[in-house]
Amino acid sequence: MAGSGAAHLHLGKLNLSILRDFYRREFLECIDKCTGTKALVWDDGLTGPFGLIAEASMLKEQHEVERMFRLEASGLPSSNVQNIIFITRPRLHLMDIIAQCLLNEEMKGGFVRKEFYLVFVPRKSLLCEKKLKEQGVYGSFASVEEFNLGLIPFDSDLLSMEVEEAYRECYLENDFTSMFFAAQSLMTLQALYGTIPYIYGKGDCAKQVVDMMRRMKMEMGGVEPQITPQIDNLLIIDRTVDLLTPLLSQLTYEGLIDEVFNITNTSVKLPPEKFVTAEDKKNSKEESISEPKKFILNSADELYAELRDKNFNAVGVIVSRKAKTITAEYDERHSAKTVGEMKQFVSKLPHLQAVRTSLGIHTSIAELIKDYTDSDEFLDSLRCQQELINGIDTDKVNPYIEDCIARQESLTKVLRLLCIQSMCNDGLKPKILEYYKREIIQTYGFEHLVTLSNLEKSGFLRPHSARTYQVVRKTMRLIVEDINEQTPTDIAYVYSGYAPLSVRLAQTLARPGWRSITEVLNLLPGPKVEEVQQIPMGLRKRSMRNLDFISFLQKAV
Amino acid sequence: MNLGPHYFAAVTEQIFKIGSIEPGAMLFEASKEFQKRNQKADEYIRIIKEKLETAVNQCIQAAGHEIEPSKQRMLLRASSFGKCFLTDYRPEPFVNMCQMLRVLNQVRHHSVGIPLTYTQLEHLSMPVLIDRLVMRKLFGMAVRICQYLKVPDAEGRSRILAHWACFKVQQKNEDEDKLARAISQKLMDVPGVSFSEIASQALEYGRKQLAVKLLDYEARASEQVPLLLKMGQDQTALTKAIDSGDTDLVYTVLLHLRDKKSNSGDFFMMIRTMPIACSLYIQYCRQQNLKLVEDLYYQEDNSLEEGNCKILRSYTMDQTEEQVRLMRIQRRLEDDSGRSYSDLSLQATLHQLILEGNATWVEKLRKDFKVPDKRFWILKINALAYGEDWIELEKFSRSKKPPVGIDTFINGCMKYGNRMEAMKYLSRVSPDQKVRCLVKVGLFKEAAEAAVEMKNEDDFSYVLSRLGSADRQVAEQVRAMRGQLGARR
Repeated sequence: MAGSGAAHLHLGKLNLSILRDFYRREFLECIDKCTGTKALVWDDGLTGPFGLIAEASMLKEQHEVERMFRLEASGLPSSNVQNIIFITRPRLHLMDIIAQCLLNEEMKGGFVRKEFYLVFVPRKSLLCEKKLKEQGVYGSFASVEEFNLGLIPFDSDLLSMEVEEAYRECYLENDFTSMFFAAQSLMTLQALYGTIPYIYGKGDCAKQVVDMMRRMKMEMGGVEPQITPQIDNLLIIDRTVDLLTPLLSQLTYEGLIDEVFNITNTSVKLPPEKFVTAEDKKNSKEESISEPKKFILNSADELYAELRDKNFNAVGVIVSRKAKTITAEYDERHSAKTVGEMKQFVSKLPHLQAVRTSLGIHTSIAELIKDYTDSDEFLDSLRCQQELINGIDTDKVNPYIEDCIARQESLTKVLRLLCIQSMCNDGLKPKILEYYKREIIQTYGFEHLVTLSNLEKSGFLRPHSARTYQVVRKTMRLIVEDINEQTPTDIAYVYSGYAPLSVRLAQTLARPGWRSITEVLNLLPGPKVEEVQQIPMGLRKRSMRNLDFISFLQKAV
Repeated sequence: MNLGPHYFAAVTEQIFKIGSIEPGAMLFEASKEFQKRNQKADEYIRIIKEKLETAVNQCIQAAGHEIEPSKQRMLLRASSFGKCFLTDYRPEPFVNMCQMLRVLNQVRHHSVGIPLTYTQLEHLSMPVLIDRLVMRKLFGMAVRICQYLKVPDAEGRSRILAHWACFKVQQKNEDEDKLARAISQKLMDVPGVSFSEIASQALEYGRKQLAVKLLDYEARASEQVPLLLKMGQDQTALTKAIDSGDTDLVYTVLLHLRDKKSNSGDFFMMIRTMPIACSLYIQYCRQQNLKLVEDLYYQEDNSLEEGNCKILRSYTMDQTEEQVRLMRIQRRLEDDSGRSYSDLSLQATLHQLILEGNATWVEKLRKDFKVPDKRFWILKINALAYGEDWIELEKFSRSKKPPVGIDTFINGCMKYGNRMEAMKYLSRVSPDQKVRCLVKVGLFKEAAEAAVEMKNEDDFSYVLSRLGSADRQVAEQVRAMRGQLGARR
């Protein structure tokens, strides 16, 4: 059942389609438990991730899924399917909506007796079930299941759990449920790809995840996956170790698309004006054009695979070079004289056309991005960031941040810059912090006192403490002068001169090993984890290295 | 059970019947001769050359039906001898029979006393035999048989040891401590043993202390925690649930405790020392019942953390006081003018007052709340431009010692789309801002000329980068100027 539309997943060192197929099989088993026609009712937060596992068309054609609804308080649209399956995250407020839907349905009655099912993703929850019982609808479900969706394969080299609020939950609300899920999905990963022999980690949460994994292994009672390990090393980095990186403006092609338009579940919605072809204009009326256009961004698109990780300044060159080769290849048809040559050209046509379409799309996206990167706003903010990470005047009130507040630019931008300053100065002097806070509250309103206090609680803003940033910056070579954006030799190209600490940690781990940076590791928050998992003799192997990454991202704003 | 001489298996008869010429019988003879170092062995083998495999199989089968180990040995030796002459004979039947016989001989021993025949064992199957041994409390033998037969631990050793432990906990005369230690020592490194099962067995026999001790060894928190609750070991249950990292389990304990403790104070006191339990409960309450959160915080206040809370509060005190002051003024303004100012930040309030031309209050607020000059200027410029009060804006720009550049005025005008007004300020722009301001108002050619004049390459490339919105002809002209810049150098 190798899925269509997932061909790019096996291109990497690790064949991730195995994981995708595993989820897909499990999910289909889960919904095929009820026989007859079905309607799926989706929690909005799940449609994205599930779209990557099972396509709607496949569900409709092969699994009798006739309708798909969104889970809304307004209830379900009428339909005459035999089964209704609710697919939801275990959130209390969603339980209220589900209960409401059920009660509505029962009021409506109808000729066809409907069966209701409930699937929790990723896990059942005691509280949610209790809530449903309180609402008096728990008994109406023919079954309550759970579907353990963990790390979702996004691309040949990227997995994500799409838990947006993880950082907030862990460091603000002291709720480590997401870490439990992380540990669980790493166990799933090991079940499919073999026990990972070496685990490294840094930070409190990393330790917690490793502890839980050890526990889960024990709980399994010695039943180990009998597979030759395909992943050699696992590195777990707690986001607190490197809070600075996600605050900076991303400068790669993909990063900028995300920065400006926000990529979720590998797809992005863009303003349609740039993508309207002459034909579209003729066929459709004005209104239909105004809707944002959705694009899926992954390595299945050859050109995107090449562009995604390039510094945006290098994108133009590649696109124009590609355009030239394509034109040249098209021109080959003139030189094709014999039937054989003609045939060869025709066989290349579909590929050429695909590349040409993709070229068109990416040229337009690049134009959109360029409008943004050329703006004074962006350039000034970037300049400010560069100054701060270089440690210039971080101990004073930054005039640019002050101006941004006065101009009432977006609060997120202001807070991002402010947090960068706090990071690069190892916390701010109380007087300066107070000043900023006053400015922000006077300008953006009193309610942001909570926002600021949350930022303080979760470590983004803090009073001045021991100097670590300067030491870490120097030892780990975070700032690199003379970077080559076109053909980079150092990872610092991604932020035009700044190398993310997390990447440096991974690099050092690969060579020469963490022992060489003990001092830096001691400066960074949280414990260091090194764990060796014994592999039975018969399953050992000698081969390439694979690094697997997890980081816990997201801002607490 | 009749082991009488009348019921020989057919294969036994084939081999031992006098004058039998069955291949098995010949092989048996050959083996005997071979042991006597007689060359007849070779002769016999030659005779049955074609049927050697049948012969071997017959000998193996016959061995199975023998009771006497010595006879078993002779027959097996014969089959082993025959095997040597076969090139691709599969060894499994032979090995299997050896193993079965070993097991059978063991259980037939008088100390065990299960006189089983091979045929009976075949019908009974090995797992059943092992179960029988377990029933007879012959745990050691059962384990050894399992290990000998390489039965997977889950069905074999682990399972039997669990039975052993369950049997052990019933022995009331033994000391609990000793028992717990004995059980754990034997079972600790055995994977897949469910300590919770043993513990519930102990509980059933009324040995609670023992059960608690045993439960401590359970690896699966999801099994351990409910049982701990059942036994009333609340604190331990909560600790174990938190250690597991499984939020659901923590909630199981929390809700159980809350329902159990009649006094909510006791409950809070109990979870207070566990930050994770505490915050999870607060979160649950937030979604369920705000009153409970208040209770919890009230409880908190009485605790050691009080000091911390106070510090935190004084920290935000200034800001809160300021907010109260602002709200008071807003109320007053509302009374005066009849317009609403509620829910506005200080910035927004000032913005509105400027629009209304309420200079007195603007000044008062600005002083009262110590608004920095620069921010105030930017705010006022934007507000005036927003209100399209261009005359006032112009006047404002002539005030003494402006803390911001003239470009701020140009920005303000352009932001609200008045290009003509913006141009008025151009003559007063400082030289270093000139090119940028010209670009801002869309005078690309002039901007380029200014850059060329000042020989400033950075500024010139800035102009170039902005040409996207320029008129095509102008853009061409500007690009052409690039040469001039170079030539003059």
